Amino acid sequence: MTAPTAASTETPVEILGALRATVGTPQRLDLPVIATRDAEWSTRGRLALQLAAEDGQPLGRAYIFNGAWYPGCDRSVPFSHYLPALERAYEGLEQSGRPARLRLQLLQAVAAETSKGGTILVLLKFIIAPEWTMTGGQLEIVYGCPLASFYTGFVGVDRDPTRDATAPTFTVGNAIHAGYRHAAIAHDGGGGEDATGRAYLDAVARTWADDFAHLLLDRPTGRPKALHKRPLAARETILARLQGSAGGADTDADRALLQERLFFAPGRGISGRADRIVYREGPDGGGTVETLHEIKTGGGFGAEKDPLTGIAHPGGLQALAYREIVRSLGAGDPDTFIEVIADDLASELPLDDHPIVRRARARLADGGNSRAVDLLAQARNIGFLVTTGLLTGYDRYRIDTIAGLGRRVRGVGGDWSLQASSTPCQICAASARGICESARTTSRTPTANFFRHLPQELYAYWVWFHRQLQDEERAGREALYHLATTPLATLEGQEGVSIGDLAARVPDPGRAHTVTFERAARIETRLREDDRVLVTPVGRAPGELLSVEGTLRRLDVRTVAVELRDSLPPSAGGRYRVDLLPFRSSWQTQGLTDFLLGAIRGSGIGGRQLGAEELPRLARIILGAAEPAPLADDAPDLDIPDMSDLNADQRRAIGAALALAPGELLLIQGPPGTGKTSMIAELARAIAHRDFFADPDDTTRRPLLILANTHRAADEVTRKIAARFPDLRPYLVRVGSARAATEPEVREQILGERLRVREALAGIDLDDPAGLERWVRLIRAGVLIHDHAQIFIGTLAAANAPELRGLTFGTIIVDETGQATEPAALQALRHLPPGYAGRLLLVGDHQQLPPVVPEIADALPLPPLPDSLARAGFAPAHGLKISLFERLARRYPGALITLAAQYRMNAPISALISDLFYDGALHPGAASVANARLSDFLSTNYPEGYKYEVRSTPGEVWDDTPIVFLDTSLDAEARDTVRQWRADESRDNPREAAIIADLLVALFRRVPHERWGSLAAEVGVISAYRKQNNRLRTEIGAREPALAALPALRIDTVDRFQGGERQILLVSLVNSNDAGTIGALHADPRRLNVALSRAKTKLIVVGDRATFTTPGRPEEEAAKEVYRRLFALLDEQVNEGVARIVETAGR
Amino acid sequence: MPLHAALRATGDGIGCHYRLRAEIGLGIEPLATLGLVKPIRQRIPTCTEHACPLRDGCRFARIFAEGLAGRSGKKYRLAPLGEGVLRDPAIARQIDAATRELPLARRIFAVLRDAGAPLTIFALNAALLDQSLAALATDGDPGESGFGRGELAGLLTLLGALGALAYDGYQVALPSAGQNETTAQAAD
Repeated sequence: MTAPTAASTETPVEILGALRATVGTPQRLDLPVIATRDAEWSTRGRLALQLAAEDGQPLGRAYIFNGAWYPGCDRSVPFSHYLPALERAYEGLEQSGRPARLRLQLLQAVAAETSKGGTILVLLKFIIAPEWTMTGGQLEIVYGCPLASFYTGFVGVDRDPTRDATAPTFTVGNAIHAGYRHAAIAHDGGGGEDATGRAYLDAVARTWADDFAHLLLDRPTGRPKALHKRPLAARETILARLQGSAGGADTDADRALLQERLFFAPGRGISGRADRIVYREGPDGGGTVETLHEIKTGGGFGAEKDPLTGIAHPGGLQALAYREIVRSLGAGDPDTFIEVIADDLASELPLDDHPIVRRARARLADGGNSRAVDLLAQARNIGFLVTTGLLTGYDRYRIDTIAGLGRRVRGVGGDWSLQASSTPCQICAASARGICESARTTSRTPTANFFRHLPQELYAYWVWFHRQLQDEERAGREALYHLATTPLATLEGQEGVSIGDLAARVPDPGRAHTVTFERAARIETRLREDDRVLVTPVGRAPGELLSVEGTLRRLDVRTVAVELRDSLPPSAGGRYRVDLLPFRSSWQTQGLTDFLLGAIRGSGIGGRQLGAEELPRLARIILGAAEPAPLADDAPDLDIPDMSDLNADQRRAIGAALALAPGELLLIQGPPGTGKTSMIAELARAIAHRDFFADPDDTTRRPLLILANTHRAADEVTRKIAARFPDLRPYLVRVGSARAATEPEVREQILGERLRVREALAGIDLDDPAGLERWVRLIRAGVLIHDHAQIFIGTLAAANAPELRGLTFGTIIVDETGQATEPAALQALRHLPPGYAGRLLLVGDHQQLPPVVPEIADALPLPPLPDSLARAGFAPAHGLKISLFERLARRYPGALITLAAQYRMNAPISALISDLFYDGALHPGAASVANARLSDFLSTNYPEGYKYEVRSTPGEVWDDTPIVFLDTSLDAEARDTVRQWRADESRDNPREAAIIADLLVALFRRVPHERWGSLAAEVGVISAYRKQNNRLRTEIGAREPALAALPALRIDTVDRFQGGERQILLVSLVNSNDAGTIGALHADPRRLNVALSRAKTKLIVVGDRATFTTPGRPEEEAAKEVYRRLFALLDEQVNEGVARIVETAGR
Repeated sequence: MPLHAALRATGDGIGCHYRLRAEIGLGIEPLATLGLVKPIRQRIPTCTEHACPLRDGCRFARIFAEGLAGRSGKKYRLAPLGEGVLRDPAIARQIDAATRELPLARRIFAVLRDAGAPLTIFALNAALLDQSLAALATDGDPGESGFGRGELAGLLTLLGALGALAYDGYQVALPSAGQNETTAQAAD
């Protein structure tokens, strides 16, 4: 198919008009249209559509016939998928209550003359919903087995992490790919054979260090194996190939080598990362791709066997897809190759000779064979159909029936010569889990009618969350299309996901891949540090070949620093744009579906309908079908050696946890300052002591797994245990890789860091066989340490991490459960013993921050609540924002232990929090905490040079009064300014920022300058809006630049302050307006809890009481009730002499 | 005494590693190393065939019932020496002495002597693990310094019962002189 010009100036009306002028001759197109099913004109074998342009302009009626037939054609296309696939898509939409309307990217159409002399438009080839992106790898799964794509892509079936501890052969591919990539960079830069070879080995070593935890799964017992040798054996092959290739970039300034760049075709719904592209810049700013290489090191989904040799060749469909992306972007028709690297053999296969292309008779040499389009479109359209669930919806009978349609899913059409000839069952998760009836493997007997036999309670639960996760999935898949097709002004101005018109500064010294961009105009954005971004030359669309991925490291008012994954692409105008790259991960869906599978397997029953009462006990508890065991009333005597002094609540919680029977659940609520993490550390010690010699013969059974919602929380628990119990350090594993922010004491618990793997590899000569032996010994040392490990700590997202593969745990603790969505929290169950015969402890606080859930545009409304879910504690519109902890805490108050003694806030601050959020139950755990005052802290820590005076002068803020509220209600200058984004809003209040800046400067100037750093570590400022935080820094910097520059001075949002505490805390409420709008962030009063409870001895709140108490928007009224109560309590505390209210007007 | 209890824990002359672990805290390893039992590696009986009293609730019963991997060497018959221990106190005393000379036992004593103070099970296991790691780094294999926690657990139980160690399930220490005599007299 000839690629159209990248930017056609013809309108859709003109394009279709031109088509209608050439009756009877199919024409190639590249035109997006909105197609609505026209039921009146559709019949069997004929689908009628009403077409419209993207702007809504009607384009008339079009038809699609079976077999790609049209009036006057001389032959049809047997088994064409286009009509059946599109019909099934419309059916799916209608059955799910959505309008039968889809975007189609028209690739070929014809104006045909009917028997009655009229002319109709017939669509012959198209991509269904091109905005919904699939990767090249996902296309290969569909090519290999559409049914596999249905189970893994839609249902969410994943491998069982407690069983799948297979050898990590993929590490070979990782190492070879990385080595090849860096060797190519060295070669392209003019490096000789030695330098290129060194670059290869260094990259292999770095990749091995990254994959260290995976390599442990191989459990080597002696000499190096193929796993270790193959990347080294491939080096000479790769070097020879590079030496035989064209010269380096320094010989050709217009030529660039682009490796593993993310690129995307909006008109094809395909994205990917081609391993190697040679790109040539054109004179007019455009460019062409000369060659495209896809590198493979083994088989996988979609490998096709050569009919003559029988050798399986992977990568054909991926290469074809990437080539098509390049062509659709108007960047030429590249010579495309698949390189297969296998030890000391390498083959380079032109795409035209690949078995996939030959089998499909899709010759590419003639400018684009029709069959090539069909090959790609079929995989893409059937993939869309099965992975979105349009084929089945949530009708469980249809879900069961689909397996009976065979792996090719009869009914969606499709030419089998455009699908793989052999089945990938050996590597398919659905086959491994025994859920696919069409699986051709004897590893597990598949279960027939799996979904039909599910208890209604379990199925309703699964559907409830699966629907919501599908909305997130859809938004993620459509995000790239949205970036590529939406004007930059809209993305930046209305959505806050892009920053344009940036000039690149010289790369930061010492960090070669970090580039700082700057511009004169102020930056206002929703982007934040650690976001994944795309950097693209202005004038190009994101994902259009020259984009480079990166991580946003720093964001200031006029600068952005990005750590790039590859070199910065050239920009004709020297300007760039930075766009938020959507991050999609299917792990929550996999955890949800794993709960489904685990509950059924745990029942031990198959082949018939199950009742909920037959499910494992823990599953029934989660579904609301069984009550947790009652808790003892008193705190037990804990006879545990080396245990710290614990208060009664902590003893009760630990005692209850130790007494928990397998299959039972315990909820522990930890309000602010109650020592939740310390309690977890003590409990970890107690469990390690009790279970150190339990199950010593079963190396796959370990005592304790702790999962947290964030890396910060996981690190904190690790640090606490390691610090409090040094003798547990040899048995403590922090799952995952070290990050830049990982502290040394946590880093030491990461297996690869403990063994200094990177340093060791740097000192090993991999050319020497003895060096490779040393490397294998290091892996064996890691295995030995792992075998003795007793406590594993990670994030919920890491439940499938290699360190945990093959393991089950007698006890699993989930920390910060109140902040995790329910599907995320279900990850914890994946590592319980079969039948969920383990102990589950959920630790959290549903009165603090809830789960962060993105707002999804066009999200489908939830259906009516089934009775079974109502009994489980669900409420109508119970979305992902209600955590598992909150639901179960309300459903099973008898299984909840609340830690009521807190050790952070003095009595007045504690009383405020306790009354507002904990029914008065929270209290200081010691007199020293209750009575702590600012003067104690200041005079103890800053005795020299600080003259502390207690003043009773009205308006003095820095006295011993624990709580001060600066009321701006009457302060005409204290009004907020709002920046409205499509998804949320950003506000600032310059007057509040000025007040706080003045206060801080006044405080710090009382202390010797050399002590500012230590004082700053005890001062924090919180506002709900990053815009206000930026304003605060500006105001402070204008008064005292040295103060604003102190890294220890934290000025942050509530969400990022979670878990921290400060002696002195200032809170800026920001919202101050005549409409009485407090905004979505304040409308959740739990943020207020987290904000105020960070303070230990001094809490200063600046804000407009009137805005927060006057009735306004109905959706904010519930939160305003809390604020009214807050101010009423403050009034009482003023009378008690522990609070002061100061009006700022006129000051 | 755990050793005697272990040797009596048979049904139809057949004993099981997992039953020993569950009931006594020992495993088959020290018994086999001391020559007291003969592990069965062929025609391994199922739990029902030797009427193991734990068969209904034991999660390892499936391994034998379904003939899965990992069952070889986990069931045993008493060796003549084992029968001798049950019959003759003099033989029992010799076995007690042999237990103290097992390689892992000698390593435990050495670690405790070097520490000069009682050690928790965590610290003891870590010290032994460090030895295994050092041997791996030097010789390419843990060799004799390799051990499993199950083996350590069983041996601590045995040595504690013999009075060769003071072991309360958490702390391990070399015994005082008086404690040694008292325990030796009790064994007689």
